[in-house]
Amino acid sequence: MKLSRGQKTVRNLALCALLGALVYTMLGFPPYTVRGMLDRVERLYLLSDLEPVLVVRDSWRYSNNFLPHHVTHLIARTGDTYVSTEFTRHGLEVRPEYRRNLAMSRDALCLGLNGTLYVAGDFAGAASASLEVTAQRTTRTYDPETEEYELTLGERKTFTYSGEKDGDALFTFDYREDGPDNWGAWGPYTGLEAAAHNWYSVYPKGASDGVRGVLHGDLPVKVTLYDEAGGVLDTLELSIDNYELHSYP
Amino acid sequence: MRDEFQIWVDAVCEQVRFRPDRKGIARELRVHYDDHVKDLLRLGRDPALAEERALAAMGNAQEVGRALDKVHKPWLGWLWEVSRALALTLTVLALATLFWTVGPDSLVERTIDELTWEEPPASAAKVELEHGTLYAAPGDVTEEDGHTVAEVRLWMKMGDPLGTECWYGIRSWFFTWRDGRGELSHYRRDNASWTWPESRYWIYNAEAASSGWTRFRQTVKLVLDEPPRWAEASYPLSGQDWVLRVEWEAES
Repeated sequence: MKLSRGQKTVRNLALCALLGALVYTMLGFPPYTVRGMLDRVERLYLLSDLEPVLVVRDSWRYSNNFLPHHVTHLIARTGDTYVSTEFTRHGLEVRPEYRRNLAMSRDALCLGLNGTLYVAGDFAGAASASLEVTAQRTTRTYDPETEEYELTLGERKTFTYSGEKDGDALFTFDYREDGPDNWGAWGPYTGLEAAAHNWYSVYPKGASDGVRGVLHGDLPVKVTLYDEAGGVLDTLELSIDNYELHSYP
Repeated sequence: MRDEFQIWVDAVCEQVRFRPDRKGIARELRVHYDDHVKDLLRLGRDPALAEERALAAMGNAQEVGRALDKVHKPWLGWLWEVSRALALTLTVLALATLFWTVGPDSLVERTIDELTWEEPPASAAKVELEHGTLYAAPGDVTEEDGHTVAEVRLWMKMGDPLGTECWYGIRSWFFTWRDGRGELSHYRRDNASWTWPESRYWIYNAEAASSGWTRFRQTVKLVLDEPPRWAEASYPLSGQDWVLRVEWEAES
């Protein structure tokens, strides 16, 4: 049977719809919008009514990749519950938590992102805020023979920043002192970003410096909220993973 | 130099607004014209006369062109071209997605898990949530390394499918678990000591997970000092106030 051009067009478009649905299914119903991403978080984590507090978009590319990775960092809240997460789009594929796990907390949440600390919470009554992060030299050595770990704690340093209010639910604190690529295990850098990278180390016992790994560590974060007159309204005790303070996006 | 017929064909094709069809139209008109010329030659006509008659029989170039233009509508022509390109692109994309991104095994496994998903027992505790229903029932209790390991089986029926990256289904690791002696800690490899706690922690057991598209099954292991009588899961971090309680039958 010879099909007319109109019939062929209808057939092709039907095939396209089928293939499109198939691709979308195979890709795992990727969310391309912030609303879609929050819906995915709601279903994955059994939450409801998440509303965005912060949306930061970024992109990076591996040297051997043709397509860049587009990352959407999100802080969202439902009631008193706050979550921070990220979705990474590579081509048509969208992956949740590609480089960071979702964090969830009540009342307030802290996210470190590319030189800025974001603190989300109910800050309607706060006029200003300050933040203190404490880093401590932490070295863990591992003995492969006995499979035992030894932990050594060293000097502590507290970094203080004043924040900028960004709406009723967000304060931002810029903590970048050194350039984003200027830190290294042996560098003379003394900023928070460098300390978060350089002060947390893991070594196999007896190994040379070349095999240093960066240890995960929770750094205590204290946020102090002030009213218009400068009086202390509240203090929040939070924490942040040192990896979030590194410069990677 | 163009012959008379070519001039006629060009005049016809100029009337056809959908340019990609012009070549095909010219080819088809040429076939009709050549057939007619051959017929006339077979009847013994002079070649020049045969060409002249055949050309005259083709009709007025403007009228033929307008008639062809009505048939070869530009919008339909372009739509057809686009549909072809799109179908081809999507076919390539579907194959690339299947083999490079997802893998056919994953689709098959998830479909099998969806189809072979077993309903939770009628006695399972249940809570209705916005995106689906969560069930819990007691599982095996065993002795491991001097501890009691009590399994709690979880089922989740979702209203909408989850993506392929969610191979273990919902993320239940922000749940809080407690038994008669109090709250259990969620096992998290502690950076400070990098050791396992002795007991009284719970761990998500990924090995026992089953993941369909909308149906999921998970197992949580409670590492305790003694066989539990009951355990409860809740989700205070989310601000929700539901509790799932599972009870083990006492050994006689």
